[in-house]
Formats: sequence, structure tokens, C-alpha cells
Amino acid sequence: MSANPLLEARGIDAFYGASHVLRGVDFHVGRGETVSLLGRNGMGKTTLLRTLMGLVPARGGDIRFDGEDIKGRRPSAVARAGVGFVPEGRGIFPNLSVEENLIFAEREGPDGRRDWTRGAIYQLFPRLLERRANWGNQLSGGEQQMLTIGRALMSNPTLLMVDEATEGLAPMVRDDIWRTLRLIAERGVAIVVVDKNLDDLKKLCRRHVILVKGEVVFDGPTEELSARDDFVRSQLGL
Amino acid sequence: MMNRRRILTLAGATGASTLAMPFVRPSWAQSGAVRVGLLLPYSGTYAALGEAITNAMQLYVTQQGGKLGGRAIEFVKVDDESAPPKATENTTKLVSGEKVDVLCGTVHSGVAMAMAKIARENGLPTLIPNAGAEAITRAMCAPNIFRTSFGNSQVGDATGMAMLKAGVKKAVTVTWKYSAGAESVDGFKKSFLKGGGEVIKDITLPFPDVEFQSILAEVASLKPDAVYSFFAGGGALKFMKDYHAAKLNEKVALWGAGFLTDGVEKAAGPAGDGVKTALHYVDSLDNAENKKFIADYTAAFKKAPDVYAVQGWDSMQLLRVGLEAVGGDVTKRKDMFPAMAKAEFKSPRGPFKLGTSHNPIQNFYLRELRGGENKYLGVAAEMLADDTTGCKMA
Amino acid sequence: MSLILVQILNGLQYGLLLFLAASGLTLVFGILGVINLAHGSFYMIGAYMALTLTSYTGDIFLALAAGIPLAFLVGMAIEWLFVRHLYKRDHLQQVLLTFALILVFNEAQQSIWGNYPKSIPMPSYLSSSISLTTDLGYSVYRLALMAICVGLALLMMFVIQKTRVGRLIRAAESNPEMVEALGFDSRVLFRVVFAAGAALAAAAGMLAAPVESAYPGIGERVLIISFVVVVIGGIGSIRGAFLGSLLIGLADAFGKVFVPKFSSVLIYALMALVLVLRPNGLFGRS
Repeated sequence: MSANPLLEARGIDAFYGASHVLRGVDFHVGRGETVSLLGRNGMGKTTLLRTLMGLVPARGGDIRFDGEDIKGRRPSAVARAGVGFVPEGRGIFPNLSVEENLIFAEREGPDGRRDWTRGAIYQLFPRLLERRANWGNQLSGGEQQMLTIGRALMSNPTLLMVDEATEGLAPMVRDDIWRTLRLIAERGVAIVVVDKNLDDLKKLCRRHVILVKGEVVFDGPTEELSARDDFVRSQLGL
Repeated sequence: MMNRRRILTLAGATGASTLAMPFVRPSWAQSGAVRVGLLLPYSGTYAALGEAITNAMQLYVTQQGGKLGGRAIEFVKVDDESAPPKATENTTKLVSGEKVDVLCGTVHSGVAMAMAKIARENGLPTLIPNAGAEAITRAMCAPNIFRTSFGNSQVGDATGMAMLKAGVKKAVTVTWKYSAGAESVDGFKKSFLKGGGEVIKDITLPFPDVEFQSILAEVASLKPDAVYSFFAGGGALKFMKDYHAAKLNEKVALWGAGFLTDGVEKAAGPAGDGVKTALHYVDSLDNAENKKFIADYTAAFKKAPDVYAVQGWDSMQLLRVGLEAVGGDVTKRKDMFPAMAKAEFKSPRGPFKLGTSHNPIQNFYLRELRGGENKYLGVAAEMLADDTTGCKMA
Repeated sequence: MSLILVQILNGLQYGLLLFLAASGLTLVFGILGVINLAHGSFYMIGAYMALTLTSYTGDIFLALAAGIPLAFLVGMAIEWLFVRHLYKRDHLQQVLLTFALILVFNEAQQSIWGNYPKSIPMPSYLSSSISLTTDLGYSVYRLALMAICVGLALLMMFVIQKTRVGRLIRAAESNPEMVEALGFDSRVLFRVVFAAGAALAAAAGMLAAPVESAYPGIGERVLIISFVVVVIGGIGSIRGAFLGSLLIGLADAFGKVFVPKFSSVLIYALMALVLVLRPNGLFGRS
């Protein structure tokens, strides 16, 4: 673990109704680090992201972001602290135009930077520039995904959390998304990404975390993940 | 929801009345009192009417030393919300729940019908201080049910006579589409058609809708001599103001059953000028009872009484006659009811007596609203009785 | 001017006023997901505020300038005290609490202003009537009312389509969680939207007061018809509320004159028809 992590969560417990979804999860992300979050369906990956975001209340444990205690804060406060969120199912605003979706999230980052402007996003996703006047609900799945990532970047986050960004997309579009995420990482934004494509994740992320039934069973660098291939495959049901 | 409504109402009503009327005690305090159940509107469009009736009744009893026929009087109030669907439940609450000795209500005819049905069955002394539903003193009449107000058609009948006398030949009627409106129009036609008048069209709108603009346009296109209308409360106020704003009053005289202007004389302002109505009361009536009534009521409640207050007042006068006849024993119904049926007394409205179906026989007065006051123009119909069609006293 | 043209005018005027009342209801329903039965009470409060404030200011428009911010504050307070606890509750609980609010507001109205109908003066410069036909006049105030309603409707559509607040409102209507996750405190947004809804209803009540007067029960009438507008227009849609209000206004004006026997059920029949053809209303999304 790095000495001064950007995000640090310890002993997180979370529930959906009566079911205990996260059981004492420790999870951390360093500045500019890229981390993958792996696990079969229903193991708690999405819940972990939502708990970190403040959308699901953390019952036990401790969450710090950039040195500040953010446990129990509202999602809006977590977002303003510098966390960009790309939810599963994308969550674009269908009744806002592409441009409006972007302007909506526009703000300077917690460190005062404004690296990500509309121009920068359009450079990253030229397709969005062509469709800037279209309504959110007129976009294809891939375009929607680009828009959600672009929208999250507009708030100049220091950490981007991406949930299932390539699910249901055509292979060429997927490659586009992965390439973009690598570009974003190169610009110094820390990324947590939930996905099922192990090979792509290994190319993007330096560290990997596997969740099984709400507990962390693996937390290590790409080399270790590759070395323990059988264990990993059995845990992921591949 | 019902309970909550009632608690609020009682809390509000008793709070207000204990301040004004020290003798009204909460129901648990007395066992020897005659319990008078008031089923009246204390909320909604007719709340002002329920308030006026209650005030006058309490004032009368206070002036009698809190007693009628030697028995203390205790009021139990239920807000009927002018809601016919809740009428049976609300009446039962008074009759079975509160076990009242006398039932008194209400303003809305639909609610009064449901109440009268229950009253007919259990024979409880029942006073109706406003609702003019005809059936109550016609097919549904009963020895124990007494009305101290009017029959809907009675008022229309008198107004029709006055309109003929004023030279109106062609009229359009406008009212809410509910039984009181229909009966009022029927009464109007009874005298107006018989006297040679012509009704071009009957216009109705749903109760209690107050969007009058479209029907005013229609009235203008029909070009009658006058309009006969039946409205009350906020709807009446708006009707007069819209009528005036549409400049209809310049060509088509606005007439109505007296409820059109009562309670909203001042509020109508210039829009009310020239509106003519007939009613069994006008506050400028020159008789001693009326003058004393107005003075006392105004002193007690800091506002002038209206026709509804007079009706409430007379319902207590009538109850007094009944209770005195039996020495305060409300169970002696065989003696109490005939005494009430034969009652004759002086009311602020003039002489008061009951017809065979227990509906008042009374004078109707022609009034004209001007400068925020109903001016007395004369008697429109002297000691007019209502039809008793279908009434068979058991 | 023929009867038909006069009725079109009447229908539009009624519909425009209805729009002001219904637009707040549709916003609150669409964005907060709360069935606010007390919406009509804000209309009633507006009518009585017009009464009191015109007695101080002498002019309905000055009263309006003071009354709208006041109603906004009342809306904020009601949201903070009661409504915010309802966002995650089911509709039955929302209906129960907001119904209780109606009772409280009505009780307060009776003890403050009494039960008798009250008249609110028209400003003298608008109190005349123009002639539509030889026999029929039309209040100048009503014409001014129409102009104001159209102005407010345009302003509202501009705010919603072109401004930052409008983007927030539209975004919150489709995905309130995502609005929060992008850094906007939805508690603030919800409070503002609720207060804006209250202010719109009160503004409608105040503007209508000189023609409508103020009397007990005035709010309930508006509430029911506003719900019909929301259902016809589609929950949350301002454009839908606008079209729905005009449709109802016209149906009411023509129904009363040309099919008086059915005038009481006509608007509900219209609602049923819209629901059959477009179950989510004219501009509603599934």
C-alpha cells in the first residue's frame, strides 16, 4: 500500500435490506493508480462502488478520500471532493442534449484544475461532437457510454469509478473505450474499473482486487494475478 | 381520517365557543342536560352558514339562561363537510355515538336528506335550520321533523311573483346542477309560468363549479329580460362579479333567490348593485324582534347576523316551545311534537308558524342590493305556504 | 363576435390560469415523486394572501411581488418540516400526510380569515370591461390575466429549456440519483422545486383572486382539476401541463354551453380518452 493513498476504505460493511452485501472490505486506491475490481455477479462490486460514492450507506468501517473522512457524506459531497462516477447502465439524462449532459457536470476539480473542458472531451470522443445537439435518448449504447465517461470527467475528478463500461457493446466500440480509459489514466486520473474482460483489465490496471461474497479474497499487482491464474479463474468462474 | 377531522373541528369549535359562551361546557361535565347534536358544515363552501346558525343557537340559549324548558342545553358538534357520502356516518355518530336527544342540521340538502331518513326511523326530535330539500316536508315528512327555514321551491315561487310584478316576461334560469337548484327553479316556474312568463332556457353547471364565463356568454346570446339564479356563498359572490364584469347587468336584470346576496353584500361591492332577490328575511325589517336580534348578535359576535342566523335562532325558539310543553322531558314525544307543530311565535323575520308538513308559512320580502346592503322594497308574497305534495303524517 | 369565438376566449383564459396551478403540481410530482394533495392549499393561501396584502399595498400586483417570495418561503418551510420525510415513503403515506396538511391549512384559514367569502379589489386601471358583442362585455383584468399567464408560461419554458436550473430540473426528473452523484445536493434542489411549485400555485391563487374572490374550500376545487391536467399532460411535463390545461379550459367552456348534460363528466371523459390513447399522458415518458 502506498504511504498516502487517495482513497482508503477499511472494514466496510453494507447491507441491501437484510442481506449483508459487504463484509469488512478493505479497499484503497493510490493517486493516479488504476485498480480493477473483479468478481462474479452478485459478489458486491457495484455495491462497493456505490458505498464509496455514498449512494449506499456504509454501516461499519471508515472511508477517507484525499485525507478527509467521507463516510456518511452525501453523494454530492463525495463527488465534489473529486470522485467521478460512471454507473452501471450509464445513467445519462435522456431529456438533456449531449452538450447539456456535459455542461451539467462542468466544474473545477478539487485542486482547482480545469483540464477537462468540453473541447477536451470532444477531442477524446469526436463522435460526441457530431452528436452534440442530439437528445441523450437518441444515442447508441456506445455513444451513451462515451457520454457518461465524458460527463464524469467534466467535473475534473481525481478518481474515476467506472462500473461495467463495456457491457453489451460491440468489440470495436469496446476497444475504443479501453483506449480512452488508458488515455485518461495517462493524464494522471486514478481509475477504479469494474469489468469482466480480464485481458483488457490487465492492460489498463496495475493492481487488481477480487471480491467473493462481499469479502476481498485477492488484492495484488498484475504479475501476481497472472501467476495465480488457476485461483483467479476459479474465483471468477471463468 | 374522519376522527382526525372531527377532533380538529371540535377542538376549534369548542375552543372558540368556550371563549364567547361560558355556559357551553364539554359534554362530560353534565348529565342532566338535553344534548343537541349539531350536524353542520364547519369547513368548505358552507362553513360560514354553519357558523352563523351555531352562533345564533348558542346566543338564544344563553339569553334563556342556558336552559330551555327548565333543562340545560348542551351542544355536540359534528362537521358534515357538506358531503352527502359521509352524511349517514356523521348522523349515526351523533345519534348512536353521542346519544344526542335532539338532532339539528344542516345546510346542504343532500346531507339533510340522509339525516332526515335516519331521523324518520328513530323518531328523534329533529330541527332543520337551513336545507330546503323539498322531500323533507313532502314525501318524507314526519311528526318529529321540523324545518325552520324554507322549502327550496317556496323561495323560487316568491321570487317569480316579484319578477312578474316587475314586468319581466322572458327569463333564463341559471343554477348549479343539484337538487336544491332544480327545486328552486321549479318553484320559480310555478308562479312565473302561471303568471304568463316565459322561460327561454334552463342553464346549469356542476356543483360547486364557479367557471361562469361560458354560460354568461350564452345568456347574452339568448337576450332574456332577466335571469333567475340560485347560488350561495363564494359561488354567488363570483357569479355577481362575473355578471357585472360581463356587462350583462346593463341589459339583463339579475334576479335570484335571496341566498345570492346574503352574506356577501359587502364583498360584492358595485357588482352587486341592482341585484334583486326575494327571501323570508331582510336585515332592515322593521320589527322589534329583528332590531333586538341584530343588536344582540352583533354585540356577541362582532358581526351582523344573516338569514342563516335567523333560522338557527328560530330553531331554538321552536325547541323551547317543545321542551316547555313537556317540562323538559324529551322522551314525551307524543306531547312534544304536536306542541311544536302548533307553535306560533315572533321571529326576526316576522310572524312564524308551521304548515301541516312542518315547513314554515312566512312572508317573503323583495330586496335590492345597493351600496353593500339589501334594501327592503316590500313584501313579495304574504304568508306563503309551500306545497305539501305527498306528505302523510303517520 | 360569435358565441364560438367568445367561448374560445373563455376556455383559453380558464386554461391559462389552470396551467399556473397545475405546472407546480406536475413538477413536484415528476421530480420529487410526491403526490401533494396540499397543492390546492397553496392556491387557497395565495387567494387569501392577495386579500391581506392588497389591503396593505392597495394593488394586486404589488401584493403579488410580496406574496410570491412569501409563498416560496412557506413552501421551503413545509418541505423542510414535512415533505422531505416522504421521498422514500410510499404514495399512501404521502397522501395521508399531505391530506393532513389540507386540514391544518383550512383550519388556519378559518381562524385567520373567517368563513365568509371575501372580495379582492381589482386595480382601478384594469377594472373596466370592453365589449365583445353588443350584449357582452369582457373584463380587462381577465385579458391582463391571460397576458400574464402567457408571459409566465413562456418564462417557465425558457427557464426549463435554457438555464442551469432548468437543466437541473430536467435531469432530476429523469434520474435524481445521478444528479446527486454528479455533485448536486438533491436536498437543496428538491426544496427549491417544492417551494417553486408552492409559489406557482400561490401566484395562480393571487392572480385569480380579484375575479375568483377568496372563500373556504377554494383550494380543493383547483387541486382536483390540476390532477386531471397532470394526468392528461404527462407527469412532470410542463409542456404537457400547458396543453392539458388549455384542453380542459376549452372542453369546459364548450361543454357547458353545447353539451350541458355532460359538462360535469366531460373533462374526466377527456382524461379517460387520453389515458386510453397515451397511457403516460400527452408528453409523459414510460
